[in-house]
Order: sequence, then structure tokens, then C-alpha cells
Amino acid sequence: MRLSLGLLALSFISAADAETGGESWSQGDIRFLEQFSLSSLPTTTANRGNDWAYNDGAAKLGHQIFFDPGFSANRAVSCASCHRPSQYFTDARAVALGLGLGSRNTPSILLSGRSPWNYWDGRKDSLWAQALAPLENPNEHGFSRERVAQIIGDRYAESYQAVFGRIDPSAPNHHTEIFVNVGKALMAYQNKLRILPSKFDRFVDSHVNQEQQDKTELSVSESRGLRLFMGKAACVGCHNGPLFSNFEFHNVGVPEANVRSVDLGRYNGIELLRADEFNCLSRWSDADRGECEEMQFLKQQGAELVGAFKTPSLRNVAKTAPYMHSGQFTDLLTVLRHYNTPTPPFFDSKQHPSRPHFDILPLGLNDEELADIIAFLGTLTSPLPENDPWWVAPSAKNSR
Amino acid sequence: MFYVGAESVNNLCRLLTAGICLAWMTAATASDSGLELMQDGSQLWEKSEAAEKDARDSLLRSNQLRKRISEYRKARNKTSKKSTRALLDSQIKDTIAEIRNLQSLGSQDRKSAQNLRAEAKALLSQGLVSIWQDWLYFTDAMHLEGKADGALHLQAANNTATRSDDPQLNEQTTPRSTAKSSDMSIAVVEAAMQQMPDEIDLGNVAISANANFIGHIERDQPAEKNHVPLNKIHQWRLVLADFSGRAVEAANIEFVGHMPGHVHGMPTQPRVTEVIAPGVYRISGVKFQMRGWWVIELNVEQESTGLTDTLRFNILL
Repeated sequence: MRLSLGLLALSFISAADAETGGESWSQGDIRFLEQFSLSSLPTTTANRGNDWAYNDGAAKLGHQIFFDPGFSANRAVSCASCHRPSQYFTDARAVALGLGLGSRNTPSILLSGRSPWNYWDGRKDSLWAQALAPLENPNEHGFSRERVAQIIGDRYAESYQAVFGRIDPSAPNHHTEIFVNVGKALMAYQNKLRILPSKFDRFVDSHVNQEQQDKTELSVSESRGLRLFMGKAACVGCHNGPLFSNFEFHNVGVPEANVRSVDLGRYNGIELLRADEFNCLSRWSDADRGECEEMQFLKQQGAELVGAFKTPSLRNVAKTAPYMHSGQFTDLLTVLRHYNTPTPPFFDSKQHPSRPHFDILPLGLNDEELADIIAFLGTLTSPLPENDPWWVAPSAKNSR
Repeated sequence: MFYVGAESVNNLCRLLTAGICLAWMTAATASDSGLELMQDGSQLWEKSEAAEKDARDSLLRSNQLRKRISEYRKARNKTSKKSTRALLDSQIKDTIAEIRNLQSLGSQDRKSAQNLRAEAKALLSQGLVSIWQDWLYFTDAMHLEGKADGALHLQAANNTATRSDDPQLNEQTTPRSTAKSSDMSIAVVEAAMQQMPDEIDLGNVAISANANFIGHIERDQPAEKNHVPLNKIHQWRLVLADFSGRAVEAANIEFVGHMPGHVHGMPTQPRVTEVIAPGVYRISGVKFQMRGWWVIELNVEQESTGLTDTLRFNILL
């Protein structure tokens, strides 16, 4: 009995130690929050059919290609044109602008290899397959696999062959093979992009480590926002795990960007994914069939696929406006107001295969509570790294 | 439904193919007590069905009497004759008393049926587990990975019964609110705003809707305990038998998972990928993208008999 009283006293002390600004956190709270910390993210993830996913040579080659505008029809568009490091690899635009205007908002590529799906509609099941699509998209790079292969042969032959072996122009599908390897190199590069712990991570980690003296604390508003996020506002339902996403697809009733040409989201994404010449089951994937579980057990039907889009990560969300799949909302307050008083999805029986499923109920939050959630979301911003060579163009790195 | 006791093994074997019979005999000799448990459970189940029928009959009769009262009242309002009115008043009074008796009887029978069903299910479950002990790893219900240590709690769910067609939601249910565990100050949404039945069977054994089959589900990975991971494809194991403890073989099984509170399904389409042993199936491609209340329905078609039936499991993640 004496021992248990002693333990009780200890737990009270540790809760009191964590107190700040009227907020205190119990050991149970911290254990619960630990699952959301960046420290809980495994250092690597499945290679998704790319044997070079964690190959340093491939990453270096991918780094060069990522920043090289030569891989575009007008020699002015590179991956980094839309995925700008200074903006957490987004472009601050509603919809992407390459050679032409796209229809979707540019997502951050940071840690996007952790998702089983890429693109808002998940029409790609790996980062290497995703990386190939913009190169041949007339509104983005407007390039072709033949010209990609040509540039690799002309300017990157040495580093390419060091990783992928000798280029054999007489091999069947020679252009596509080089093209695919470019995608795999781009994925290897993106796997090198790390983010630094945010205030939220420092807060959780410093409390997990009970020995640590200089604890990071959240402000009163941020703390209230955290509690709302996990509780009353129910954000955590879909935004869970260290990247604050379940990477699945939901229709949250965001206003249709163009009611005359509705975006069917995942419903179309499934068809595109199955038809994709570079999916996990394709000949170009390095995965065995058994490894392609998402493709083998792919959900192909259901009203919930119609107009559904992938839950985005909330990491750095405060710095990656505008929001939603077509950049419909300019700021976080507009996003939260939508969730607070949601409207059902637009439905047009001529365009939609079925009435879209809708999953959102009003939250009943007041303005102060909305501001608190925004304050909490701000704690998910990682500082921009100052000396990380992968975050800058290779030439800049070389000039240092 | 039919019942076959352990002593009838030899008789039944004459009717079965040699392979099935051998497997069954092996199971029977290895676990006679399991077969006896299932025999007892099966008998109780029949009793529960009889009690339920009695309850239905009583309640049906009481409803018919209600109509009769309505007719008496109409007749009473039409007549001005005192003696007729008095007679009708008396008949109304007697009928009301009869209705009350029938309702009370029906209610007792229904309760009795429920108790018998619960006892029967317990015996059948024990029998199943005993007979199939070599093929089962877990007897506890499946639960969310990491939840056992109290660090993770129910979350998610955000919808209403009004859009759900789940039959379990037809009755009055209580909306769940946020909940705190004893060592947490953060109130995590616990199936928040999700309508759920107040009592929900979270067991890993289910009896099919028309009592043709009994099934047991579990995580098909003994090293992982009986934990269901979130956002991760994994495998389940299903043991499928009839009430006599005989394997249901060569069954076509459709796996349908949905969240009644959200009116949406799973992010994958799981299916049977392997028959591990007679009546033991591996189901692959199971994935949950949200915490909360999930209903898993296994639509079973037994090829040999043509019987179709549905097993229904509740899981709270």
C-alpha cells in the first residue's frame, strides 16, 4: 500500500511538472500524444516497387533531375517550379501552373513517399510512378519519355549508368526503361528530404523524456487547440499518426471548383490506377505480386469513392495555403469554418455516377475555438532546414 | 437447422464422403467434450427459438386484440342503448386485461429466449473453440493495436443514425461523447457523435442470422496478439462450422465491412485467399482507416448444401 501511494504521489508530481499556462499533461496524455510525434515515424518505409528507393547514387541523380528545367518542352519547368523548397515544396497557388494550368492544388512532396497513394485521387501507387506523370503532362513539363531518355544519355550518362547499368539503345522499350529509372531516381531523392521537429514534436518529445530539463511547452491557445483537435472537433478521426493523415479518401463536401465539369476524385482515380502502365503490378515495378497488397485488395466500388480525395498530411499546413484539392479555400480559418458548418457535396445526376457519400456533421465550435485549432496547427510547422543539401538545388550546394 | 450429436458420428459418416468423414472423426475423437458442448448449445438454441416463437405469438395475439378493442369502441359510440354500452364496456375492460396478460407473457418469453440464446451461444462458442483449438490462437476479442496499454483510445466517427441503414441502429441509441481514461486529461473523441447501440456484442464468435453456421474470427498472426492495426493491410483467420461442430468446407465467402455511424465501408476489398484446413480460412486485404464502431458481415454460401447465411461481427477500434 505504501508503495502504491508513493507511485501515486510521483505521478502527481510529474503531472505538475508539466504544467504551463494553466495546462498540465499527465503521463497518459504524453503516451497518447507520442503516436503523433515525428519521432514515431519509421526511418524508412516500403520501397513500393523501387529497388533504388534508398540508393544514394539514385538519390543524387534524382536531385539533379528534380531541379533541372531541361526536362521540359520550354526548358523552363522543373519539378522545383511547383515544389519549391522555400514553401515546403508547394507553390502557393490554388492550382498548379506549369506549361499550362492544372486542375488540382500542388501538394507538398515532403514525406509523401509514406503514403500508399499519390495524387489527390490516389491514381498512382508509388512516388516513382507519380514522378513520371508530370514529365509527360502537356500542362506541366510537356515532355516525352524519348526526350527524357535523350537528355539522360547526353548529360547524365555517367551517374545514370553507375546506378542503373549500361544504357543499351538497342534494348526493347529502351526509352521507357530509362524513363522509369528517372522516376525511381526522383523517388530516391524525395526519400532523402527530411523535416525537422516542429514545436509540437519538441513538446511531446521533451515530455516523453522525463529527464529532460528544458521542456518545450505549448501556449494556452495551442493547448486548447490540441484538445479540440483530439476531442470535440474530431479532426483526429482522419488526421492521425505522425503525419496527421490516414492517407485514405473522403468526400468532405468541399465546394466543386467547376460545377460544369465535376471532379470525381477517387472514383476516377481507381480507374486510372488500374490502367496505369507503371502501377505496382506492372512489368516496370520491382515488387513481387504478393507485395502489391493495395492493388490486390483495391476497393473498386462504393458511393464513398465519388468525389472523395485523399486526406492530406497536416505537417507544415500553416505554411502551405491555399487548401483543399483545387485550392478552394485561401486560409485555415475558411477551412475550419467549412468543417464547422459543412454543406453537402454538389450533386448532378448527369455527371455523378451516384450521389456522393458525405461524412461531415456540424461541429458547433465558436470563433475562439476555431482560433485555438489554428494555433495548434501552427505547432506542426517544421523550421526550414538551414544546412540540408537536399533542400537546395545541387548547383547551389556545389557552390558552397 | 438440424442437430447431430457426437454419438451419431458413425451414422452420419455413411452419408458423407470419406475425406470429410475422416477429418470430422479426427476432430470428434480429439474433442468429444467440444462436440458435447455444441450438442448442449444446439439444444438450448432450439429452446430459445421455441421461446421466441411463443413470444411472437403472444405479442401478435395482443395486437389483434387491440384491433378488437377499436371495433368495440366504435360500436359503443354508435349505440345509445344503455345495456349494450355496458356490455361493450365490460368487453373492452376484459380485453385490455387479456392484452396485458399476453404482453407480459410475451415479454417473459422474449427475455427467456434472449437468456437461452446467450447461454446457447456461450456453449456453442466453447465447443467450437474446443474442437478447433489446434487452429485458433486467440479467444479474446480483436482490439485496436496499442489500445491495451491505455495509451490509445477510441476516436473518430462522426455521423448520425439518420443516414444509416444498419439494423442495430433502429432502436433508440445514445450518442457517444468524448471520454477520458483515468490517466489522461485529454478528452479524446470516443466514437463522438456516432450513434451506437447501448449494448453491442463485441465477441469474436458469431452465429449466422438464420442459425446455419457459427464462425470465429481472429488476427491471423499469432505474434501480433489479437490486435487490429490502423491504416495497415493485414490478415484474418476465420473458422466456420455448423452447429454440430463440422467444418463448413468449400464455402464462398463475401467480406463486407462498414461503419454504421459513418455509412461508409472499408478502404480495401478483403477476400479469402487460402483455405488453411477444412473450415479454416485465411482472409487477406483487411484494412481499417478509422477508429470507431465497425460491422463486419461475412456472407457465406455453402456449396455442398446451397445454404446461404450471414455472420455478423462488431468491432470497436
